[in-house]
Amino acid sequence: MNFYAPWDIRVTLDFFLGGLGIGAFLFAALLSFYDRKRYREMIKISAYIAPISIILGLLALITELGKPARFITTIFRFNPSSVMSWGVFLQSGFVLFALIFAYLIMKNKEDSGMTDLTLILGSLLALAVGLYQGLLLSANVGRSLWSGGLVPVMFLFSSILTGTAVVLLICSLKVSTVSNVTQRETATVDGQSKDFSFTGLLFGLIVANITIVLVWFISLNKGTLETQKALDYLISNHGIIWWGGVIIVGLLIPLVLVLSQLNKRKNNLTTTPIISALILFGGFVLKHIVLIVGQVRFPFL
Amino acid sequence: MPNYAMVIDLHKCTGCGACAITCKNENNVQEGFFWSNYVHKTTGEFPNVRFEFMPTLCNHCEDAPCVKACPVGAMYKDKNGITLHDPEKCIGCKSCMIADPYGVIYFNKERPHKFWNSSENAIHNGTSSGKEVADKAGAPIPYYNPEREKTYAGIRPQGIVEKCTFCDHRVKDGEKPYCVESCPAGARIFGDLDDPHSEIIYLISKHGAKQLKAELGTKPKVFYIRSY
Repeated sequence: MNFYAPWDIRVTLDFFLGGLGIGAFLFAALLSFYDRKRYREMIKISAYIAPISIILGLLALITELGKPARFITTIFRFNPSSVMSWGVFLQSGFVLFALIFAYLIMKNKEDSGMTDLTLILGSLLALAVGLYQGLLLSANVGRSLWSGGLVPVMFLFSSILTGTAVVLLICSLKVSTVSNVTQRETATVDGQSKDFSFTGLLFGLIVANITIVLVWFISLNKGTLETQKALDYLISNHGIIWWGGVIIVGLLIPLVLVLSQLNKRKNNLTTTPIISALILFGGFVLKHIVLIVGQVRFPFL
Repeated sequence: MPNYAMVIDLHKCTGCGACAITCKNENNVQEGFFWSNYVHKTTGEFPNVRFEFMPTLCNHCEDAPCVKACPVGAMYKDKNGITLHDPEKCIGCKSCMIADPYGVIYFNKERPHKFWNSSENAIHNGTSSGKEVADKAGAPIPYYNPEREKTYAGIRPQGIVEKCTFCDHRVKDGEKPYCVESCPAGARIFGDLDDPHSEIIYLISKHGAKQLKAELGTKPKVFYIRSY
């Protein structure tokens, strides 16, 4: 079936890059409240990734507009019933907090009260932006693949996972922080906090993602004729990329690698970048496929 | 204020497609776009065959999802119940197309009416191009209807969406939409849904009516009566 998808890959880029941004910010917030001195380098990388990534995503979205120069009018022509209208403010707000945070980190002011406030408010906005992306899809009537309300949660968790993965990928490529990334939890003798278990975090996030994707998939499969039709279309036309790209490469292989890393109880310098890259690939494909296939229209007759 | 709606009598409809053609004429709609459209389906095997034909257009829903989705209020409900679009406000985000369950909104991805702007020969080895014909006609397109400009962009520019307006430029002068006017079978009836004495209310009451995807709760205002 040929169809015209009004929203193309530039919208996926906004979802994906925006997702990286909010995920990186939330990761920075988590590490900051855990032990900001010890993980200073990682927090710094996260703080820079967050605004850069979401701004790049927004730029991709603006190029998708028929009249890009009119983008600014969304600010003063607010429509309260439009999810996109709310999104403009949420994303702008998040960009602002992400920039403030990056500035504070750059100026070495991570211990100020201002940083904590920025992190708390920024994290709330990050969660809102993460949910907004899926809501932009699921708030449409008659779009079976996006119905049921699970898409916003699925996108949010995918964003948190990919955002964490991108930070770990960049950090693991930098020799100085490699040990931080791959170390396992070990109680230290000098009274420092325990090492943060990045592998454990990845494990939890991957399991959460698999759970949500499965619940979404099963509930559509057990849903109305319309939702089954949409799912059939997904599987019959994009089955290989869905099962292979999203499920196996993007979630199951990273899960196995993370489990083996947890099991070895030793530093593994090679798997972290691989796990992160696979997660990023899977996260992108998930959002793209859900966006594109959700736009398929089925005939009235 | 009236609350305009349309009844399509499928029993009278002959499936000629005149509505789709005349709409293009009236509203300067470009190739590939169909403000007034139709779907058809053939089922069964000879000799037990069934052919169904259903004209479609913007349903001017009372609870229009395209209006709700537009981030800048470019898609809006007029006081008379017609769903309209402001080309000056539209940012071309296509949220309305995503929200629209009926597929009746079109996006001008490229400069419209490409054929009439092209200097290539209209027929291979011929001598005349679309642009030449349009220039000779002294109009952007040879069948250009300047009346359309009264309430909407005569031709919608690149980068924005467009859709059926129930011919609001005609309706405001007391005329009927052009698809209603031009239907040779008299299958389309236009009227005020809030007027208990209107013909559309009579027909809906008499025959019972079907609305497309009524279950979505958009309260579409194109009512189909009887069957093809």
